[in-house]
Amino acid sequence: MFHYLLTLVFAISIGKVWAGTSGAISIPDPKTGEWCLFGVEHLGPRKLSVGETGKYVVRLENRSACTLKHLRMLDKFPKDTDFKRADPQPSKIRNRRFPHGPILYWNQLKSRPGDIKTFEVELQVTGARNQILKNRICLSLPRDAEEVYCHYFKIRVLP
Amino acid sequence: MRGVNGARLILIVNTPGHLLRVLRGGPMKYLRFVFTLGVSSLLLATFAFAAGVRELDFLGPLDVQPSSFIPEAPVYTDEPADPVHADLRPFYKEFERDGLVTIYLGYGIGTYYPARGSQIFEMLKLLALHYELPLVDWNLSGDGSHLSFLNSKRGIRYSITIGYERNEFARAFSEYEIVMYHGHSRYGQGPAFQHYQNYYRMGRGFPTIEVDTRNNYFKDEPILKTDLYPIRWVRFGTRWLPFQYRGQKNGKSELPDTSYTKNVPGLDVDWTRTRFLPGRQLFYFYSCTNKQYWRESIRDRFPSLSHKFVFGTYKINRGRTEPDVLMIVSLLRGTTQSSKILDFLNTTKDCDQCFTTY
Repeated sequence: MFHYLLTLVFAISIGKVWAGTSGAISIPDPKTGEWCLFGVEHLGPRKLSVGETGKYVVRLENRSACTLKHLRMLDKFPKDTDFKRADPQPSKIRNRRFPHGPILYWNQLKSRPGDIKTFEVELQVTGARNQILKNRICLSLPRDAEEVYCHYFKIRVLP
Repeated sequence: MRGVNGARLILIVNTPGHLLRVLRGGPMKYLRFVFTLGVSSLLLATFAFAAGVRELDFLGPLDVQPSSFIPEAPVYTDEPADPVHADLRPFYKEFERDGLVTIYLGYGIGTYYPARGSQIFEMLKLLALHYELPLVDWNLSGDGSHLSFLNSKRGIRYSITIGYERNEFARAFSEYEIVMYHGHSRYGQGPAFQHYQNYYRMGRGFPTIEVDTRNNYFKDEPILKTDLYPIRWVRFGTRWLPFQYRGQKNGKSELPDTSYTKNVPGLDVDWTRTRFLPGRQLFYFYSCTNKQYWRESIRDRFPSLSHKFVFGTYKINRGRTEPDVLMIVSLLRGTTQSSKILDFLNTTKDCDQCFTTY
């Protein structure tokens, strides 16, 4: 039983470090057709209250052998959220009709194999309590193709 | 030791007079301690059982996914599990002959994230502690794609590679003794990696599949259904590529409206092209109702259960890591009966007793 409790404590302590924040997005290289994998980490609070501002770091790592020019990263805010600030500044912010959150664009990114880019984003929860919000991080190569490839991260709004 | 203490406890309870004498006496403090520990363990275990706590629930805090896995509605429903049974001893004997057991674990679209490797690593370590497995020399590569450890008693090293790429998965059948897949079945079109259209075709339900013409995996494939959808051409940079229509027609391709789509051969063309290790192999497929989708293709090529044996599913699956590590731990424990492994896999809460064998 003590062994069980020990492992439980150990597991909880490790689990807290990850908090389920790493995902992956694959995007095809328009020149070669090769699928390029990007690891995405979404670091920040998993739970927010209404009115609270959450500060997130999006860490994008090129885990492939692809060199991509004119890469675009999109941060599609969840519904019932407002944009506060971002670093680096987004190239463009598109506001959508309520309750949809805005979309942030970072254009003309260049990514070589192993490159890591970090984006700091602050969002505020404005809408209803007790719901799950989905923050979508997407990649596209708008010069070559229209498709957008995304991965979402969950944020729980506390009751 | 547990058995010895248990026997002493029974003796004490059966002779109450003796018990009183024992509790008063100094040298018997040890027995009083054992008695107290036994009772409290029993009480705790009873409470845990009443609260629905499962033996392996300690894995839960580690088994966190960045986003929910959304199963696709299976074509087959209400199919019986109808498992087959095998004695796995000849498999283990063959795997362990060279002192190295090789495992490939491929994660498809919707299930891969880079932290999977370290998640599996930590969960296996906990399970090794829990089952008191003599595993030492634990190694995890920096990118989390490769992990290994050594069974110190038997001198057998286990090497696990974690992948996410389609061609690597296809190659795994010719390089690894145990090949595992966790992801979507894509309605039977096959395991899909990095995107829903990157199929490893191993089913029988789709004579043709829809892919984007820019998809490198299918660039040299013949284009089908040209009588229905004539070939047109589109220019990307300096390349002219053939396509038939924009978007998708069959509703199950997950291609966006912007896609330049062509129809290429489906069925199990990738499975039949794949090279396999000549000896015995175990396959584990944790994707929706794959028994119904893939059994025919697998057994047409490998009729003998003692040659290639499959742990698969007959219901929808989910996205947690627990079933994958339970499968690996079954191998580490040397569980010889496939039915025992099946029971163990079906203890997972990740799916509704979805596992079967075929």
